[in-house]
Amino acid sequence: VIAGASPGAAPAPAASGPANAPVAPAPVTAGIQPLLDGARKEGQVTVYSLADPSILARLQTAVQDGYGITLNFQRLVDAQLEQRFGAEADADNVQADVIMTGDPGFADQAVGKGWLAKIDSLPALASWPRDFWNGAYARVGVGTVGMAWNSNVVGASDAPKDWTDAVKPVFQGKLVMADPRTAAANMAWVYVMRQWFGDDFLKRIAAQNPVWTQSVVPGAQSLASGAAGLQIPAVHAVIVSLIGQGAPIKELTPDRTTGVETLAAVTTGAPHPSAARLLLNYILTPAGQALLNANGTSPLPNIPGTTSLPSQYVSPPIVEAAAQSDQLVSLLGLQ
Amino acid sequence: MTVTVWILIGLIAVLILYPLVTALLRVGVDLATGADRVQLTDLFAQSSLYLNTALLVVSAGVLALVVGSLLAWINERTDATFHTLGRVLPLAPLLVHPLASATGWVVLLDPRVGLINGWLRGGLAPLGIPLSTGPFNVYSFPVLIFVSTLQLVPFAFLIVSGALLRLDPSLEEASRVSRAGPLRTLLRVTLPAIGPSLSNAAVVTLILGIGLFTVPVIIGTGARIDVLSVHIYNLINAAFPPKTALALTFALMLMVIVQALLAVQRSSVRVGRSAAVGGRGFRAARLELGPWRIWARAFMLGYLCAAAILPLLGLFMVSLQPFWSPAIDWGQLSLANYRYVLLENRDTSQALVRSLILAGAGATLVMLIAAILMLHLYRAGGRARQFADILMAVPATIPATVLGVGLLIAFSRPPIKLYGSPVLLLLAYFIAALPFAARTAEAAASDVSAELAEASRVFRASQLRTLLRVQLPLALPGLAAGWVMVFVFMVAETTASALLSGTGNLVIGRILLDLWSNGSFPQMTALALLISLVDAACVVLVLRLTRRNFEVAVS
Repeated sequence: VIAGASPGAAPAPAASGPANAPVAPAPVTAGIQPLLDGARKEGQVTVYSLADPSILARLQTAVQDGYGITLNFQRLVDAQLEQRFGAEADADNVQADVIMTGDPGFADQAVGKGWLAKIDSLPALASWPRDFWNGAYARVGVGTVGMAWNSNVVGASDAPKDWTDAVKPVFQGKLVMADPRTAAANMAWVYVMRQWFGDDFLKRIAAQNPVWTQSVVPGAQSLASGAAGLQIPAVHAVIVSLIGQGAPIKELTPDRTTGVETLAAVTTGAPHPSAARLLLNYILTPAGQALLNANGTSPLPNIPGTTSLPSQYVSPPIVEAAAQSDQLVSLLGLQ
Repeated sequence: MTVTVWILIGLIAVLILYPLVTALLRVGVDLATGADRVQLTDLFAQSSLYLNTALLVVSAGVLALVVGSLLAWINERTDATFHTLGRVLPLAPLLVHPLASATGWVVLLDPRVGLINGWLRGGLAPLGIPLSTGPFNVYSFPVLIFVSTLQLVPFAFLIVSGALLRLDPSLEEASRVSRAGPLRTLLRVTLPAIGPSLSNAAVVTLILGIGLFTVPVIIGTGARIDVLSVHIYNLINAAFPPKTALALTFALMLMVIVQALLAVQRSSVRVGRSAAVGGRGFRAARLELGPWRIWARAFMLGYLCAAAILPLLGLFMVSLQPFWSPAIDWGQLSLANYRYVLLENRDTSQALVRSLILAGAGATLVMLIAAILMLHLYRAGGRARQFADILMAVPATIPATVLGVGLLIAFSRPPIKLYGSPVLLLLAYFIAALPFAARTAEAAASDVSAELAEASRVFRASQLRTLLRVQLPLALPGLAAGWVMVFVFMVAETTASALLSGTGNLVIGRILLDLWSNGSFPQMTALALLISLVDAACVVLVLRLTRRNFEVAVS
């Protein structure tokens, strides 16, 4: 096990980040008038997304105020999203106009099955980096993962400095973790931990007897209440919004980390096709990026409120992790 | 009229059997072809699943039977009764949404931040017992059994108190006159006399226990205690691709277990053994409990506290906070969560309205159909009566998980595509409520004297006219009480809803579950409290309108 703190671990930013600022209406940018006209006729748009509910709520406000369109969202973790959307697409009964997932394996599968709309042109694509768009889905943002702890439960001297601190005796029975089976990015984090720290690290995490949650969001809430002491992996955007509400949480993003890369796509057979394209377009504009990636990282440069990636960030190895999921889950004592 | 009745019976038969048969065929095909890779060995890969389920269902079922019977006995036979209030009191927990009571106990008994645990630790510390967690842990088997028991008690209570109400107390008085003590009377006279009802109550609580989903999904998941109902839900909802065929196989196995239970019950209870002498309306002297009276009352109130008041208070505290915290910061408390779920989030407000409309429509439909059938058949008897009786009792033997999976498969592919439609939920609620609706409609029909209907016929009124102008109005109070119970049941339904409700047809049970597993806990508590409040308000309103109280539903 590699021990010790990485010297340049990023400090947690101030609580009053853009996540708690008032929401700016989605702007009517160049070239979207035809889409806007169509979308207004459709009146609404439905999104399935793994994003933090507070971010989705802000998206809802921006679209309502800027475009006069009602946005319905369902916050679904990858496995649920894939199940729900897959079943609906299979039954030829698509309900979602736009999906946002952290699982490129599923996205590619959906492309193969013709579930995602091929889009040739959107106004915002003109200034969108080519590497982040493949004709069906865009990689719209990166949220790094880190460690978060309740400062009432974990004393300052016990505050973790790197991933390996999570197996210290002081965190016995105090860990809260998202079940990696429900989200591809969480499985990728487990995979990366194994790569860096070996099987033994995962076994020692299991020995800490963590509480498992369906996703990082309820885990962060139990962290805020003090029901749990330390959350790994913690998603920065989720933690920041709780800190903004006064939760006694501190966080740390180790230099060596991975994250959640969010993909967004319009569905084939979307019930509201113009509104779907309009929403995706907004997400790809600087304004949409600032909203979606508040406290995250954007593919576009110079977006206010976003941060740059930690020095040793690795892209989540989703496909590799999925291939080893049974082993990883069993090392964590989950099966 | 007879034709109408047969058509109704036929429609109900199709409605119940179509999803079950479709599901059965699907499993057969999957097992035969190996699609979805279902193998019989998959069913037995995890033996703890069965042990956990059996332990939970049997312990909670037996405890619920004991507590429910005790409450019924105290109310009907002793001077500790609260009279009418006492008959309503054990049913109050039904008004609390089952997810609310489960999460309420999480708030109270979380090992680190549970409110009760915090107070207890505060009290124990001066006694030289310093604890950093506990003493209770909500995520444990005993608490899982405890909270499940609370959910099952009202059903045992309803059946047993109904039986006591019908039992002529003169038998018990005779026993007392012959110098038998209260305990001896209870054991030698009362219990044997209501034996068939007790065994009926036992089977009902066991079946409900097998289908119990809300408590295990909240507490069992946290404690990592896997039970069948939650396992089936997870196979469909938390895996991609969904393991529908395996889930269905599990579900059908549940049904086999339930049918076996029923067979055992039928063979053990011989008809006619019950000593229900005489009719109703006895006002016998109640057993004087003396010093025990206060304890009996404390027991009833304790039950009310555990099943409704305490968890609701816990939830209320959380619902005012921005995030769940045991250290209450009075300056931070606000109604923001209520504002959010009622006004700002369209999904939650629409689901609230949709649930109420669905439950209102469903309860009306099922009570109306049950009333038409029962009013017509109650005196007519014959083959139609027998057939209707059997048919309408069938859904009581289908665990809600099985019903959900069956409907999902039967109606989400051609030829009938109802996935994402509220109609699918209406069907599920209708089927699930049918046995209860039939029983209450039958009781209501028995209140309508045959002479009045005959008189109506003498005056050449048609059967339909007699039904609408004479029988229905007379049976209305009884039917209204039944309607209330069905309505409450439908609003609270979570098990089938969790499987069948999606984007286009979100209902309250599903939303609460989503908020619990993916979203904001304080928002969930606000919504759970609101729905319990609206539920209670609807019930009071309907009872006011029909100028009857719960006594009708119980008796």
